[in-house]
Amino acid sequence: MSNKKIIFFLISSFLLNGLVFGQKEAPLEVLVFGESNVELGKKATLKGKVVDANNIGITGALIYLVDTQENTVTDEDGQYSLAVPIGIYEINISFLGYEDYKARIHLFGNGEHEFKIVETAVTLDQVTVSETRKNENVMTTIAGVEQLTIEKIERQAKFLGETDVLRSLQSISGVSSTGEGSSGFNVRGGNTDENLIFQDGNLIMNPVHALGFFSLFHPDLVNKVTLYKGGVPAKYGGRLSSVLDVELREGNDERFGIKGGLGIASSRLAVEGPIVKNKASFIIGGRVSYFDWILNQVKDVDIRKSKAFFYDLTGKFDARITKSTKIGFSGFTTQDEFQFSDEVKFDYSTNTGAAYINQLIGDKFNVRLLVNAGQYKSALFDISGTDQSRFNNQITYLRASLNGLYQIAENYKLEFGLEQNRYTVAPGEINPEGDISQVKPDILAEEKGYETAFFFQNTFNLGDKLEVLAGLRYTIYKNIGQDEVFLYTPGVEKAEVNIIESLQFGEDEEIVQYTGFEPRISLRYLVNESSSIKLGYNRSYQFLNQISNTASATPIDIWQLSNYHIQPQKADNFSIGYHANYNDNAILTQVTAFYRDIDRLIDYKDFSELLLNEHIETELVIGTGKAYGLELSFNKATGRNRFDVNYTYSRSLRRAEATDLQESVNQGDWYSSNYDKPHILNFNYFLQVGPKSDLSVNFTYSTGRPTTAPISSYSNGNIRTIPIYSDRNQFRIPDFHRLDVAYTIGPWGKKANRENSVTFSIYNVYGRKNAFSVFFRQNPFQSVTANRVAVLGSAFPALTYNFKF
Amino acid sequence: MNINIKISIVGLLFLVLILFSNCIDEIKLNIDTNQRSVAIEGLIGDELAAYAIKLNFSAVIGVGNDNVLDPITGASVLVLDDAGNTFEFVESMESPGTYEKEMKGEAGRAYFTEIKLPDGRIIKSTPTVLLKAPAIDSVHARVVEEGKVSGNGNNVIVTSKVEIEVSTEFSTEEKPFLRWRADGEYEFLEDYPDAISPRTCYIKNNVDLNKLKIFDTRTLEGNRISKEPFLTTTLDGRFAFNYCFHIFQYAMNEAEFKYWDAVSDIINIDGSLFDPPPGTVRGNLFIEDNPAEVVVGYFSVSGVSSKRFFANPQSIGVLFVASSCRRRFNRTLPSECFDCTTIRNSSLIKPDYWNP
Repeated sequence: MSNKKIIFFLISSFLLNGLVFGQKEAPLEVLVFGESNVELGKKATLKGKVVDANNIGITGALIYLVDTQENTVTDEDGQYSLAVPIGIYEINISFLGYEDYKARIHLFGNGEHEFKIVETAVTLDQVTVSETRKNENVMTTIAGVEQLTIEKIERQAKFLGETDVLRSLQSISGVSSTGEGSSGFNVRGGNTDENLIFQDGNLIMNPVHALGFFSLFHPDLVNKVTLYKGGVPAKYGGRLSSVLDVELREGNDERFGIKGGLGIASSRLAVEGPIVKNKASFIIGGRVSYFDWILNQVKDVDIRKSKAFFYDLTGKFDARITKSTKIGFSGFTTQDEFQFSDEVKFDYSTNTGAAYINQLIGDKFNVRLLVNAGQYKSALFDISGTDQSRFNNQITYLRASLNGLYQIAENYKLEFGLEQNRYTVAPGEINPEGDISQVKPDILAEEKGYETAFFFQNTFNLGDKLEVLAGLRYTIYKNIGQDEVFLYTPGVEKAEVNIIESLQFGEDEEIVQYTGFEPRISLRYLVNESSSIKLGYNRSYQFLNQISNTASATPIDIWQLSNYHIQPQKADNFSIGYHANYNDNAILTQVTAFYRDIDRLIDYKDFSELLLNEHIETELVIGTGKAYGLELSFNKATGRNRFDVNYTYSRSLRRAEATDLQESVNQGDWYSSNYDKPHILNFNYFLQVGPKSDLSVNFTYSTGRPTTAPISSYSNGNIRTIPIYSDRNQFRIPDFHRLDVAYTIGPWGKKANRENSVTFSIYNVYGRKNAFSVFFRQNPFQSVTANRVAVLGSAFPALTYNFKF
Repeated sequence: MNINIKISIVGLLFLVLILFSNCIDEIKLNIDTNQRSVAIEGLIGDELAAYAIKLNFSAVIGVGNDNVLDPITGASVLVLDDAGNTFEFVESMESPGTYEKEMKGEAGRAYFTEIKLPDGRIIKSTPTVLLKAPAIDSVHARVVEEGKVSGNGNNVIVTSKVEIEVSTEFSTEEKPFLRWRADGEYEFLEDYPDAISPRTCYIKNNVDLNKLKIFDTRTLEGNRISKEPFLTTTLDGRFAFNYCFHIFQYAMNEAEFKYWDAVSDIINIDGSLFDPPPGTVRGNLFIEDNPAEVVVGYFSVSGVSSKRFFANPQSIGVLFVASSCRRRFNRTLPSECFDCTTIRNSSLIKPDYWNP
C-alpha cells in the first residue's frame, strides 16, 4: 500500500471515529425464578452454567450482583452457584474477551439458568467494554497470577506482524528474558528451566521455535494463558519459579471453519469443526516455514549454505459423552532445524499427547483424569572435517494425574489429587558422521526417575473479607537404575581423580529417594470492594534441571534428573501484594513484593565440560540463591485509550561455594545471576483510533544483564593474548530498550462474512542495537575492545494483510 | 465456513536478516579495575635445548599500552626433578623477565619449578611427569580456496590458502593428550633490475600465531590422526621459493590439556549463543602461602617430537607463485627487493637444516 493510501486511511479513520460515538443502552432482560409470594429474608440459590455461542462452558466467568456486590466465578465446566437473599437484582456476567451480559433477575426461589455470552466483536463497542471482570484482580486469592486472553495478546504490537504468547508475557511485571534470541523466559529472576509449562495438560520442555523468536503456541488455537508467578496452587509442582498454563480453545461443534496464514517464508492453517454436532469437535492447526529458498537468493556464501526450518502440528479433540462426562485429547508435534554455513547445525523436536476424562458426579464433585506422554529431542552437529559428528540428547516422559474438585459448601471448596511422572533422560550419545570422521562413538547411560505427588487444597472464606487458599503437596522422588554411581573421597572436591569406588544399580533398582512437603498458602483480605491485600507462600522442589553454562538457554541444553549426587533444588517463595481499582474498574493498580530463597541451586565451575560427561557432578558447584523485588503495575483498562505500565525492581543473586576454594564461583561470595536485571519497565499503549482502526505501542526497558569481562591479559606460547576475566558477572552489558508500534486499519468490507484489514507494524522503531552479548577481542598491537552482538540491530517493518470469508 | 487468511508479505523476509545477519560493533564498557596477576610461561622438554621461563605481570586492559606485559626482573627461578636435581635458570640480559637454561628433560621423571619473586613470594608448580611424544608420521600441504564476501556485500572474494595437514600415530594403550605448534621460515631472494649478486634471506615467520590445536586422543577412533588440517596461511610471495614449516608435537598430561582447552574456549569467545561463560584459566602454578591468589600461565613439562616440511610451488601443486619482487609496468619495487635484511626477523645465514 502506498504512503498516500495509508494516510488516507488514517484520516478517514479519525473522521469516522467522530461519527459513531455514543450508543443507547438496550433495556435489560428480566428473568423470574420461583413464586413471588415468598418470605423475604430467606435465601435462594441460582445455579446453572455460563456458555459461549457454541454452548461451551466458560471457566472463570464472573457472575456479579450489582446491587449487593455478591459474586461468584464459574468452575472448569462453566458451572456456577450463587446463594443470596430473595429479592430483585441486576446481574452482570463478564468474561475477558466477551461482551458483558446484563439482566434483571427476580429471585423468589431456587432457580437454574444457562447464560450465553458472546465474544466481543471488533467494533466500537469494544472501547466501552471492560477488559477484565469487575474487580477480578482484587477478588482473586492468589498473589502473582496473570491471565491473558488471545484478544489481549493480539492487541500488543507484534513481532513482524505475528502474534506471540511468550512475547506478550514478557511485558508483564516480573517476567523477562536474557535478550532477543534466547530460548524461554525468566520469572522473578529464575532460570528458564524453573518454569513449568503446559499446553492443555501437555508438558513442554522447550516452548520456542527459531531460537526463541516464535513460541510453540499456535496463535489461532490459543484460548487463554495463565501464568503463576507466585502463590502456585498445590496441584502444580516440580519447578521453582512459575507455572505457565496455556489452554487451547475447543473446536466449533456446530460448523466447520478454516483459519490460516500465508507468507513468503511460512504459512499456517487451522481447521475446526464438529465430529458429532453439538457433542464432539476437533481443531487442528499447523505451521511450516520454508526459509531456504530465500537463503539461496542471498549472495553471502555462508548464508547460502545455511538452513532454517520449523514446523508444528497441534490438534485437539473434545467430546461430551453424557451430560456429565467429557473426554478429550490434545497433542502436538514440532520440529526445528538450524544450520549456519559449515559451522554449526542443530535440530530439536517435541512430540507429546494428552488424553483426559472429566466426570461430574452430582452437581458438586468433579473428577478429572489426565494421561500425558511426550518426548523432547535435540541434536548438535559438527559438520566439517574429521570432527564431523552428531550429538543427541533426549527426554521422554509419561505422566498421569487424577484431580478432584468438591464444592463442599458455598464458601468451601476442596481440591485434591495425585500425580505420577516418569522421566527417562538420554543425556548424550555421539556418533561420527561422514567418511573422514575420526570421532569415536560414545553414549552415556540413560537416567530414570519417578516423581509422585499427592496434594490437597482448601479454598474457604473466613468472614466477608478474608479468603484463604491453603494446600499441601507431598512429593516422593526416586532415581532408579540401571546406572553406575561413583563415590568420591569425602571432604575433598568431587573430581575424577578422587573416585574411590563405584556402585552398580540394576534395572529399576532404587538409587536414591527424596521426599518433601510443599506447603502452599494464599490469603486475600478485602479492604473494600475495590481493594485487597494478598499474601502468598509456596515451597517447591525441582527434580528435573536443565544443564547449561551458556548465558542464555539454548535448545540443545541437556536435562538432568536429580540423582545420588545432585539433590533436588528447593525454593521458598513469599509474596505480598496490594491491589486497588479506581473509577469503576477503569484503573487497575497493583504493588507486589516478593522474595525467593533457593537451596541446592545448581551452578557451574569455570570451563565445565557438560557434554558426554559421565561424572557431571564433578563440573557442578551446588550453591544457594535468592531473588527479591517489587512489582508495580498501573493499568487503564477501559476506554479508547488503554495502557499498562509495569515496572519491576528485582535482584537475582546466587552463591556457589565448593569444598576447594579454587572451584568456588567468585571465591564463594554472592554474585548476580545471568538473569539479574534490577530495573525493568514495560509500557503498552492501545488506542482505538476509530471504529475501524487502532494503534498499539510497546516500549520496554531493562538494565543490561550481567557479564564477565576481561580485566587484564597475558601471553603463552604462540597465543599472544589470553584474557584474564573478572569475577563472574561482575560487569553489565548496556541497558536494553526498544519501541514497537502497530497500526491496524479494518476490518472493512464486512459483507457476507467477508472482512479485510491491514496491519502495519515496526519492531524496534528507532533501531536500537540492543546487545545480546558482549565479547572482547584484541588484534595484535592494539588495545582490547568490547564488541556488542546485536541480534536485531535495526528497525523491522512488516505489513500484514488479513481477510476473512 | 469461515476462512481467515493472513499474508505476511514483508515480515518473514526480515527473519532471514535476523537469524543470520546479526550486527557486531564496538562499544565502550566501563571497566574500572587495576588488578594485575603474575603471569608465567615456561616449558621444558626431552630434547637438549635452551629452555625459557618468562615472568611478567599481566597487562591491565584499558591502562596504558594494554598490549605490553610488565616483566618481573630479579627473580630466582629453579626447575627441580624427583631425583633431586636442580636446574637454575638465569635472567637473560637481552630480554628482562626471561630466565633461561640449557637442559634436557628425561621421560618418566617428574619436574616442577620454584620461583622466588623479588617481593619474597614463592611460586611453585605441581610436579609433572614428562611424557614421551609420539613421532609425527607425515606433513602435507595443499592449496584450498576460501570465499569471503566483499565489504559492500556484492561480491565473493576467493583467496587461495596453503593448508597444512599432519598425520600421526599413537599408542592405543595410553592415548596421549597432544598439542601442535608450528614455526615458519621462508626464503626470500633479492630481485631488482640489473642485480649483480642478489642475496638470499631466511625470514622467520609467526605462522601459527594465536592458533591452538590440541587433541584428546581418547575421543578418537583407532590410533591414528590422519591428514588432520592444522593451519592455513595465505598463498603469497612467501611461497615463491621454499617455505619451511617446523611442526612440533607435544605430549602433555590431562591437567595441561584442560588448561589449553580452557584457553581455547576463551580466545574463541565471539558473543554467540553457545559461548561458554568465561572464567579465569588456572594453570599448575600457585603461590605457596596463598593458593587462592591467581597465578596465570603454565609451566609445561612435555615430551616433544618434530618434523620439518618444505612447501614450494611444486610440492603444493601450483605452477608458480609470484614473488613480491615481481616486476610489472609502472610498479615501484618494495625496498626488501633491494635489501632483504630490511624484512623483520630476517637473516642472511642459511640454517643448517635448510635442505628442501
